[in-house]
Amino acid sequence: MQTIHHTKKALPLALCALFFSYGTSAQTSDERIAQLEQQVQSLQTQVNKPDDNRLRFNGFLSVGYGMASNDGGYAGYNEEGSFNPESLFGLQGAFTLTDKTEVTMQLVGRGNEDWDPSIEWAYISHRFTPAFKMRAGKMRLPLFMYSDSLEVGYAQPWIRPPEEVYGNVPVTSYTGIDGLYDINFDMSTLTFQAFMGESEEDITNLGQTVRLEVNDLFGGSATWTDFIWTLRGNLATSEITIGGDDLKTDFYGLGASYNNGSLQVISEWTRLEIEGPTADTDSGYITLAYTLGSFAPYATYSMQESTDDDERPYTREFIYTAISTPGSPLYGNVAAVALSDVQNSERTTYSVGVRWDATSNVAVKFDVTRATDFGDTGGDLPGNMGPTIAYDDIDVYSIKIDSAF
Amino acid sequence: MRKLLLALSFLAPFTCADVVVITNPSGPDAMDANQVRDLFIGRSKSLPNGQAADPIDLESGQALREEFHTKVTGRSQAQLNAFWSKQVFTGKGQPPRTLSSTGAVKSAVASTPGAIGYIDSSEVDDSVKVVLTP
Repeated sequence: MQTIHHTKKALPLALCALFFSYGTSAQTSDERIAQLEQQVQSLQTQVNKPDDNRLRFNGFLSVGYGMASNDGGYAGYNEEGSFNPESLFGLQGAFTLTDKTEVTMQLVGRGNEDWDPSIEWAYISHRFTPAFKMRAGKMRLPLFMYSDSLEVGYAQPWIRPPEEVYGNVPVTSYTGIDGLYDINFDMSTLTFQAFMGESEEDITNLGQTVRLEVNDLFGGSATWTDFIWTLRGNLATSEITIGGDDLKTDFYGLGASYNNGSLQVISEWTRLEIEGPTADTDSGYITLAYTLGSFAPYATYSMQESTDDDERPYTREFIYTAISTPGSPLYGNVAAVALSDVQNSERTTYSVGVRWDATSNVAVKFDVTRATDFGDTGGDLPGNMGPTIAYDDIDVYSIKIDSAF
Repeated sequence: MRKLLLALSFLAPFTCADVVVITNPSGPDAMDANQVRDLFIGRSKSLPNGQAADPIDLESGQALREEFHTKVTGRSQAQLNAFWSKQVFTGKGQPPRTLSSTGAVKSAVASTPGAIGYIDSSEVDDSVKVVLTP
């Protein structure tokens, strides 16, 4: 009884309090509106001056899972499924120093390197004229059409750039300088790029980790595009060192692509020539992709072939026996494997897949790839580098989420 | 008859939803679709009359944005996103700034020399100049 009485009295009191507090908040509301109007105005000024964004961050993330029909190791995949070979993240920062000068840095952490971030780009660029720009620092080695966006899966139609072309050059970046010159025509642009520099990297070669030095690196490219068609030609030359001698190395590439908004055709052809028994390789691919709403199915045919098999006269059986036989002059000399036909390659690969743009800036890709027609070679599979050829072909099933932000 | 006209006038905003490309009143008198496309893909940086260009896109997910890109850049939204991620991560450029509504685009274009954007033809008034009806 007592409590009910109390409540009856309390209700009008509470209403009163509410009214008064409303009154005072109405007063502050006016001030608040004035404040907000000022904020909107200053925001509007900021929006009208977008150049104030001097520091920009962008990132990309890929998570892939794949498994293969055997332990051949195509694109890093074996019979036991794995997330590591194609999962990675990247973070890029670009700092604008002046209207014409910019510093760019990109960190990439890869699943198969324990996600330890390493610097892929670190360069300063300066635009001398509207048509001419120079850059200095660590940059991507521009050997292919997709070199610049090599690890940005979101920017690519496939689950991975065709291995036959992109997998034969273990060096992906260099330290040096480059110059880019644009010639604008009425409806198209022709860009010339020239670069020079050097590189030093640990790579996996014939199952061993070795130090690869690239010195006296020079190269150039010409790219013409009208936004629908792109044509590109490039070449590069260098002296490479894997352990011992300097080997003169030349690279040639041709590329063409067509994209009318729904149909996309991409093709590249490359030739790699290395002095001595290290394999020279010709390779190429053609991709057709078709956009249907948020789905873009694709099919790729690609091939590679070693072109200097006569420089490796010994069979793998002979060399492996010599290496493991005490008393043989090659006993224990693992590097001698390079003299054998282990490095000979012949391979044709068929891929079908689909890119599904699930939401803005997230694409999910599915892919089935079959590598076959190795002839009497091991098809350049990591799993076929031993004394005998273990696999005649390999199928790889993979799924990947690519995002950019 | 009056009822029919009334019904038509309600329909009009939908049936006449045509995208028009606008610039500041100080902008050029006309542009062709390729000139507009080159500005919106970052390939050219100035208007035909020499003004430094400030292209303004609508935020993604708006029907007029899709209509503009279908007609002018010929790319779907997914392809545009992929294109810009390639440009951004190769240091070649940044996408045009975006605003959330055609009203905001119109007032920004009206107040910024060199600005170029697109709105619905029904929203055009003296504050902006129509340079292209793609």
